[in-house]
Amino acid sequence: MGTQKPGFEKNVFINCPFDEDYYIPLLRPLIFTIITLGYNPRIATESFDSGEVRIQKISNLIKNSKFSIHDLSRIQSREKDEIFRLNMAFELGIDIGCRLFINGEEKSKKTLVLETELYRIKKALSDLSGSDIKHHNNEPEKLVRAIRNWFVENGLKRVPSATSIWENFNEFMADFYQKRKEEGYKDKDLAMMPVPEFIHFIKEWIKNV
Amino acid sequence: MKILTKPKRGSSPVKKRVHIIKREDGWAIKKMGASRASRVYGSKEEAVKGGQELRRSGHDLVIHNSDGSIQKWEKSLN
Repeated sequence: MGTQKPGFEKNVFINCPFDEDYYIPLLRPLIFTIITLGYNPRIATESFDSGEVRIQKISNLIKNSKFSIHDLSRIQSREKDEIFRLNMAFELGIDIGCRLFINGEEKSKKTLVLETELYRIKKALSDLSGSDIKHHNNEPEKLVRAIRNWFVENGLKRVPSATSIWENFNEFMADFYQKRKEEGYKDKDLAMMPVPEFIHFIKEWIKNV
Repeated sequence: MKILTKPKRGSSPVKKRVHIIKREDGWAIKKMGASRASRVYGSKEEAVKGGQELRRSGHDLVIHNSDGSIQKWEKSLN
């Protein structure tokens, strides 16, 4: 048996794209939902050190997280000559390998695979044919519902409804917008705010509820 | 698990607000701090129109984009 890692039971590894097209509509409510439910989002962009080897950093995040959310909705190339993106599928493979081959608390890991449409990923990644996945249609409220319900299906009890979390996220965004503007933030500062800073503001808001 | 309903405000003056929020079943009007939306409309235009009535009773109207960000913030009419 491996030694118990601090925070393991509450850590949630997020494997998703980091571009604006994903960050603004989907990553923000995803992070908000995880924190609202009492968990700790862990993501590759939570720290930045050019001297750190990326794959080692990701492996450590995976190993130290009981829960993992892999959003594969952006792996497909969208236009001619655009290279399809393999990082997300690769990191899902590391996560499943960690669960399968390490004897320790890693055996208790829980994995959520997300896609835009329900059956599309199984055509590209047929090894997932026997696995349950959830889809969100690129709609933030559906994403919130998928994540909230997944935690409930894995034992979480007495949590707010998905609708309540989504509406609270909207209220948070209004407070976030108003207060940051008062502090001198510009729209471009808010749109692609570094993830650790955004997490800080969510936690601060929830603490004051 | 505590349900998030009544945010405390920090240094900003507390003003009553009403939010226009995208929902899977339409566009909802939700007063700040209420536990649930007061009404859901079929379209955003209808919801904004409904929200305008609350502006007259001292609420700011916060119109959200479908991703939850702020499209427009209209101050109360009194």
